[in-house]
Amino acid sequence: MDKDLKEEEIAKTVEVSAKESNDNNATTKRIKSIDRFRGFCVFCMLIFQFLKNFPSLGFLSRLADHSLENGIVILPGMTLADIIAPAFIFAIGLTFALSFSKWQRLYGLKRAIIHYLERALAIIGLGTFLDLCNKVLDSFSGYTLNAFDWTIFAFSIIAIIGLVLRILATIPSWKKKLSLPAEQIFYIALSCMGIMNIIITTIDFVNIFNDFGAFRFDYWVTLQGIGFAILVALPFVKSKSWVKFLGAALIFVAFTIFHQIGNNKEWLDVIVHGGVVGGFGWGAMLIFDMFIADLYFKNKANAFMSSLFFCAIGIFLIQWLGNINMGSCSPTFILVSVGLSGIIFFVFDALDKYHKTKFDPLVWWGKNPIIMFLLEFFVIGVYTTVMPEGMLAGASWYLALIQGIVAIVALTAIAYGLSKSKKSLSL
Amino acid sequence: MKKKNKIQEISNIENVEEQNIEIESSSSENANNEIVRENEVVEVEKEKQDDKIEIKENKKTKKQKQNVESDKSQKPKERILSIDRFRGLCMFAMVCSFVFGIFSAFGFFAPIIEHGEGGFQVLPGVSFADLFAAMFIFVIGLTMVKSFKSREQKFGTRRAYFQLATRFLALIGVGILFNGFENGWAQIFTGESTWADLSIKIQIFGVMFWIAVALLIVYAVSLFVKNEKFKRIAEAMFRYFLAIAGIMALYFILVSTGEKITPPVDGERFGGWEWDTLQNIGLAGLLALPFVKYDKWGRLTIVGITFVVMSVLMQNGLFPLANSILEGGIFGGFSWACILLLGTIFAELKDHKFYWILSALLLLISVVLIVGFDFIAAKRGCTPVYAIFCASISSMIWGGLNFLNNWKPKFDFFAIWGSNAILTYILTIFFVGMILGGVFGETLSAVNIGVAIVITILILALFTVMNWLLKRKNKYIRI
Repeated sequence: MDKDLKEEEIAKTVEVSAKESNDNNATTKRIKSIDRFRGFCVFCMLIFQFLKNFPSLGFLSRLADHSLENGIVILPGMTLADIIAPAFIFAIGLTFALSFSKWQRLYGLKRAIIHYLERALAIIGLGTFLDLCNKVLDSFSGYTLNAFDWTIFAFSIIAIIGLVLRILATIPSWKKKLSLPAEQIFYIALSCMGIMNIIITTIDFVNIFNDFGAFRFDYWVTLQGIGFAILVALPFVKSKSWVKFLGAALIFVAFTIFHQIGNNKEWLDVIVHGGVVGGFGWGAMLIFDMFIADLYFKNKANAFMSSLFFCAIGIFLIQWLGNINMGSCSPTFILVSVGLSGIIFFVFDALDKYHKTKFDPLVWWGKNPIIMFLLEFFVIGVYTTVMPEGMLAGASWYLALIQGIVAIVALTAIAYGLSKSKKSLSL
Repeated sequence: MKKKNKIQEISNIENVEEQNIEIESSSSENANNEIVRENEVVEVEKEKQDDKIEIKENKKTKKQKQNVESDKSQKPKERILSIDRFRGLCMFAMVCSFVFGIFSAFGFFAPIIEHGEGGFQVLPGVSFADLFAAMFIFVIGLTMVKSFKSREQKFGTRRAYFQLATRFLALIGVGILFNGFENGWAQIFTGESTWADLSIKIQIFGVMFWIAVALLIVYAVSLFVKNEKFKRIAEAMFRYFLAIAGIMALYFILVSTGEKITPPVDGERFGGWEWDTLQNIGLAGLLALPFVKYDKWGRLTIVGITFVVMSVLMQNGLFPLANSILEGGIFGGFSWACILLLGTIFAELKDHKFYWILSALLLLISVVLIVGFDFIAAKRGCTPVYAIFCASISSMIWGGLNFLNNWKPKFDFFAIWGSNAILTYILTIFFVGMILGGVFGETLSAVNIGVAIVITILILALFTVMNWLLKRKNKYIRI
C-alpha cells in the first residue's frame, strides 16, 4: 500500500497546458473519462464474472461468457465478454506514453525503462501467482504439483514477504529502512515469475507445435497477456505517432501471416489468448491503442475517426481472414478490439461534460484496478467456492440478484474507501 | 475607375466631416466650462453628429460590401478539381468496363468488371464493379446543392426546382429512349424481332428515339446559327421532349411496379419494365430534389430515416421484388437517392472535422450489418446497406482527392475525363455498348488480344481527345 499516488496515479494524469496563464506553468488535470473508462472495464471484468455463477439471472449471467454457444455474440466469432480485456488494454494505452514521460522526467530514461520492464514482468508474475493459487486449490482435488509449480510457489513466498514488508514500510519509523528493499523484493520476485512464465509458455507452444496432445504447463491467462503486451509495446513508448502506427502495423502483418498459415490458428487457440506468440498480437493492439491515444490528445475527432476505421476494417477483413477469435488473438480480433474499445471510450468521453456530480463510482473503481482484481480473485473466489450450490447455480433469480447487488455495493464501497483515502497498490 | 472615384469622394467627405466634428466637440468642451445647459445642448449635438457618422459608415460598408461582391462575381468560378477528377475516375472505370466486356480476350479482367456474384467480392454481394455506378451518383450529389443555389440566385427557388426536375426527368428520358433503340430498333436491325413483336411501350419509345435524334440535330445546328431565339427554342424543345419521355418512363415503371405487387387478374399488363442506369440516376435526383434546400443535418436525418425504413422492408420481403429489376427500379431509387444526398452532405462537410468521422461511421455501420448481421447487400435492387457502403467508400476517395487539389498538372487526365461526364456516358452507352458491343459484338468478341488492346487504346484515346478539346474550349455539354 502506498499513500502517495505514485505511478498508478501518474499513469492516470494528463498534462494540460494552462491556457489561462501566459507563462509556461503547466497544471496537471485528470481526465475523468479515462478513469471512468478504466473503472468500467474493471467493473465489467469483476461483476460480470461474479454474475456468471447464477444461471437464473438469464442474460446477465451470460455477459462474462466467452463461448459462442452461451455468450452474447455481438459480431461473428466475438462475444460481449471478449471486448473487456482489450478495453482494459486500451485504457492502459491511453496513459502509457504520458506515464512513461513523467517517470522519465522524474528519474531519467534508464530508470523509467527498467521500471516499466519490471512492471510488465510483474504483471505477468502476478498472473502466474494467481494461476498457481488455482493449481494449489486443484491439488486438493487430485492435481499433482510439478517442479515448475513448486518453483513458482517458492518465488510467490518471496513476493508475499516483499508485500508484507511493503505494508510494514508504511509505518513511519520503518519507512526509510524498509521501503526500497521491500519494493525490490516484491518486484524482483514477481518479475522472475514473469520471466519464467514467458519461458515455459513458449515451451508449451513449441510442444503443441510438435505434438498437439503434449504436456502443457498452462500458465497463461489475461494478466499475462496484458503484461506481455506492455513488453512488446515498450520500445514504441517514446516514438512519434506515425512510428507507433507503422510499428504496430508491421507486428500486426507479421502476426497475421503467422496466424493464417497452416494450422497455426488452431495451435494458437490451445493456449489462452494465443500464449506468448499471441502476445505479439496483443502487443500490436496496445501500440495501436497508444497511437489512438496520441491522436486523442492532439485532436479528439481524428482519434474517434481512427477508432471507427479500425473497427470497420477489422469487420471488413472477416470475409478474408476469418471470424474474430479471441482465443488465438486473430487479426480481425485485434483490429475490431482496438476500434470498438476506442468507440466505447469516446462514448465515455462525450458524456464527460454531462457528469456534474461528485458521485462517480466508476472513477473509484478505475483508481485501483490491481486491488479490485485481487479482491475479486480472493474474496469472490472464496465466496463462490465456499457457498453451497443452492446459493449459486441453484439460486432463484431474486436470491441471485440480491447477492449480485450486495457484491456490487460492497466492492464499490471498498473502491470508494480506497479512493477517498488515496490508497493504491501499484506494480 | 468610376467606382474608385466614388469611394475616394466618400472617404474625402467623411474626413472633412470628422474634422468638423472634432472642431465642434472642442468648442463644446470650452462651452462646457462656462454653462452647464449649453453643455447639454452640445452633447445632444454631438450625439446627432455621431449618428450621422454611423449612418455614413454604414453606407460606406454597404458600398464596400457591394463592391467586394461584384468583384467576387466578376472572378471566374474556380472548379473544385477533386470533383472533376473523381467524376473522371468513375467515367474512365465505366468506359473501361464497357470496352473490356466486348472482347473475350480480356476474360481475365472479368472479376473486376463483372457485377454481382461473378465479380470480385468486396463484401458479400458487392463486387468491385458495383462500386462505380454508386460513386458516379455520389459525385452528382457533390455539385447538386451548389447547382441548385446558383440557379436559385439567378432564377428564383421555384424555377430552380423546375429546372433541376426537368434535368433529372430528361436523364430518365435519355435512358428510356436508349432502351427504345436497344430493345426495339437494334432487335429489328439484327433481325431478332419485327416491329409487330415489340411491346407497345418499346414501339412508343422507339419512335420517340428518332424524334429525339431529329431534335438533337436541330439543337446542334442551332449552336452554329447566330440566332439566340432559335437556339433557345431548339434547346428547350430537345430538353422538354426528353423530360416528357422521362415522365412516360416513370409512369410505365410505376404501373409495372404496381402490377408486380398485385398482378392483374386477367394477366394483361400495361406497365413497362425497362430501366437502366440513366433512369436510375434521374430518379435518384428527383427523389433527392425535395430535400435540396434542407441543411446538411436535415438531409442526413432524411437519409437515416430512409435507410432504416428501406432496410426493414428489404430484409422483410421487398428485396426479391427490387432485385428483379436493374438497380431496383422505383424501390432501389430511394437508396440511390440516399447516396446522392450523402454526396450533397459530404460536399458541405468538405473541410469539417466531421467529414472523416461520418465517412468511417457509414463504413462501420454498413460493414457490421453486412458481415455481422447478414444484411442483404446488392447493387441490383440497391439495398440500403450497399448504398451507405458505397457512399462511405466514395467519400473516402473524394476525401483523398481533396488533398491533391493544390496539385495542378498541365495534363490532368482524370479532370479531363470528368469535365463532360454526361456526354461521355451517353456516347459510351450508345457507341461502345450498343453499336460495338451489340451490333459488332460477335466479331469483336473473337479478335485476339493484340487487336483488342489496339482497339481499346484507340477508344480510350478518342474519348480522351474529345474531352480534352471540349475542356480546352470551355464547352460543357449539359442536359
